[in-house]
Amino acid sequence: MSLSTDWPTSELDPVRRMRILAAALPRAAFRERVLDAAFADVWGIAGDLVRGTPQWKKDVTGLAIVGQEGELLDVVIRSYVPFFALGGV
Amino acid sequence: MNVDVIDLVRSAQRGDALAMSQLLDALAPYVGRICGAIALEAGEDAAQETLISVFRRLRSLREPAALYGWVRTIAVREAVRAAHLPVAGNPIASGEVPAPGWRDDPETAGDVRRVLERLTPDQRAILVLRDLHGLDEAEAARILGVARGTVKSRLHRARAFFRREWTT
Repeated sequence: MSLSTDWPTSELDPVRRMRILAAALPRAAFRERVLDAAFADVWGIAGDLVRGTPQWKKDVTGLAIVGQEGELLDVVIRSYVPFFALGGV
Repeated sequence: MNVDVIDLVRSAQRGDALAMSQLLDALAPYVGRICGAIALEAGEDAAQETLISVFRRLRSLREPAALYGWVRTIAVREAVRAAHLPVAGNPIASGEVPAPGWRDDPETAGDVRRVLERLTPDQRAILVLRDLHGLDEAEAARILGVARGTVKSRLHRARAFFRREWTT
């Protein structure tokens, strides 16, 4: 082992990654909240974009996935709020 | 530098969200190595703040080929700053030397990290710039905002400490 090997590294978890992108994208909004619930229960809703999103975001009346490239999705959202749109997830 | 990364920078500078995401994936390991080595426990915070700063200022980068050097400067400064912040359980941040006895743990004795923890953040930054990135004294001094003589003396002490701890 030498001075140039095995130095500690830091990795970005998904939440930190989201914070960075939210800060970079001019029209992005980002909020964090800790829920008193099991991860599996929360993800069961939040991970199901089409059916789950209207359950936790009340101004959303519908969501459709219109395209996919790898892990990136193009979605169209219907909302009560004028000009509300989400370009990708 | 990889041509694809240059293209990503140009697209990200125009506000392309997909390019920003891909550029983040490209930069995260590089930033993580710098911040982890200097800030240790605060490395994740430092990496996050570095990349937020990078993306907010990306439009100011006139020459995409200079990306990694530009990012390195931001990362080193952010890592040193983060390492000095008071964090519970971070003995370096409070200016204290960790208690003797770390060698008693057979699983961690000999670990580079354990030696690094006994250096100051400024000394770790010097080692990263000079020994990992191969920068000369003048460039390291510019990044850290100190005189060349300071770089030289810090490096001498850090290397001597590191080698002494590593070989004894």
